[in-house]
Amino acid sequence: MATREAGKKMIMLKSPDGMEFEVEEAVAMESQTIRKMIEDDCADTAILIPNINSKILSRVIEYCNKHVPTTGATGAAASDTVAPAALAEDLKIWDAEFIKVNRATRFDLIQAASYLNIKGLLDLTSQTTIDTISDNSLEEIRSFLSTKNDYLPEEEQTIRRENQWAFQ
Amino acid sequence: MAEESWEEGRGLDFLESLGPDISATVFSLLDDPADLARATTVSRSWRRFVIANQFSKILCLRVYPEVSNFTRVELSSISSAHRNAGSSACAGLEKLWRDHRVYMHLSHGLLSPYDPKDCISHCMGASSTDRFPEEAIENTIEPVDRQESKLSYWSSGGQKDPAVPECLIYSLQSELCLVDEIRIRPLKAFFRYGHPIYSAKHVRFRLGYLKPPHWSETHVYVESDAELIDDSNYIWTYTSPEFPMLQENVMQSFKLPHSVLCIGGVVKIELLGRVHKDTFDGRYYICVSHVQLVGKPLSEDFGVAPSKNDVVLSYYLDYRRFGGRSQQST
Repeated sequence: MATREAGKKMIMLKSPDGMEFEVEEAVAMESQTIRKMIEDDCADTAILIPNINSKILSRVIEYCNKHVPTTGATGAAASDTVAPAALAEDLKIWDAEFIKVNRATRFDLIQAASYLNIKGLLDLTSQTTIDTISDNSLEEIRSFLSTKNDYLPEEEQTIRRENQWAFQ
Repeated sequence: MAEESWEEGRGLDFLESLGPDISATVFSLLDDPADLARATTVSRSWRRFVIANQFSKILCLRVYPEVSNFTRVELSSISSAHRNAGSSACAGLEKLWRDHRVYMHLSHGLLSPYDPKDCISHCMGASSTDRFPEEAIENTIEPVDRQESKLSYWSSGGQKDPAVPECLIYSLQSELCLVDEIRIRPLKAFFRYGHPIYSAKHVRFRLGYLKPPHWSETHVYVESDAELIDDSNYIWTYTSPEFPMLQENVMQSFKLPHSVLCIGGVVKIELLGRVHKDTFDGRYYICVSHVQLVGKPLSEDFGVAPSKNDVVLSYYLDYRRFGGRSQQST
């Protein structure tokens, strides 16, 4: 594979609103979708990422930058000095900060992670949504996930009674 | 999450904005049955979504793959409300709805925490017994295995060949039981010279159910020892690896690699290989003082109905509360 002077091949990603992002190939290949394009030689100049606006795409790149495995000269030195457990802990804290976004952004990130096939980001964004269901009352779930309660009161009671154990 | 409430009333519903495929990916991460049950109460569309994607069944299968043995489920009730035959166009929907109801309850039974306990209900029989009834299998489930002057244990018949296997078959307290561990204490014969211990070389466990005609709606039976030990009369839905058994007079614990759902409530303990030869007749024996099957019996609301080629999971909505299966008049 051809390399530049810096030793790192760069890839250009374009969002539909016209922004361009130059990223290291290794970072872009955190996305299995982009990896496949590169491996199939469909990525000569720039890759257009449809349906993902520049605001979300920049967040996705931020995530991939943080999560790309550290390899090469500097990376090897770093992993010698930092224990893997500490690295994982550091990533967890970083993830928790990263996902502190409003619901609309989180839904956009889920869709982007799904389209670009970035498993770590999809798990992170999905789990945050699941936590909303686990940690909150029905009223709060409806409010946070913007869902209208269309049950009649007696209907809701019947559904609750089916699985009474879940509400104890 | 509190910062999100200001957005209330803005944007589309979660399911609508993410679409069915991504929503399904998200929902498949729900691993607590209570969360799934609560999700169905959020709105009609959420309930339809959970039912259509069979998340409750997927949840059961993920933790207990044995659940895949059930070819279908039945919902039984003394009231006729749940027996209304739908038009054929609705049959598919009704099946999904029924699956959801039953697997929702099953996931609760399978995944709620429990204190493991002995699940044996009664003995079905042994492959051989040296002296009946003094050395019958029933002795192995007596809570005390040694009183002052009398040992209580099961003894196999004697064999010249140490390779001849034996088996003990027990029935569990419920037709569905979780089994974590089997405990066996071989006999140490204080009444014999040298106090020999009559252990087996290896043990293996099979969990499953008797096939029809030995299984029927009202009772389970076999007519002879030959029928009892004939594997072709059973469907074993789980077979454990072989565990080595020690020639030691202690309650030996055999932990299954993971908790297993016993479908049908029958457990077969296979005792493979004999260790001790009696000098007076030159034959090998296996003797067991005590057996425990540690796990959790699921609610009696669940039943298992085997037929010739498959097995059906039944959920009794209410009628076991009115006297149980044995008094069912129809």
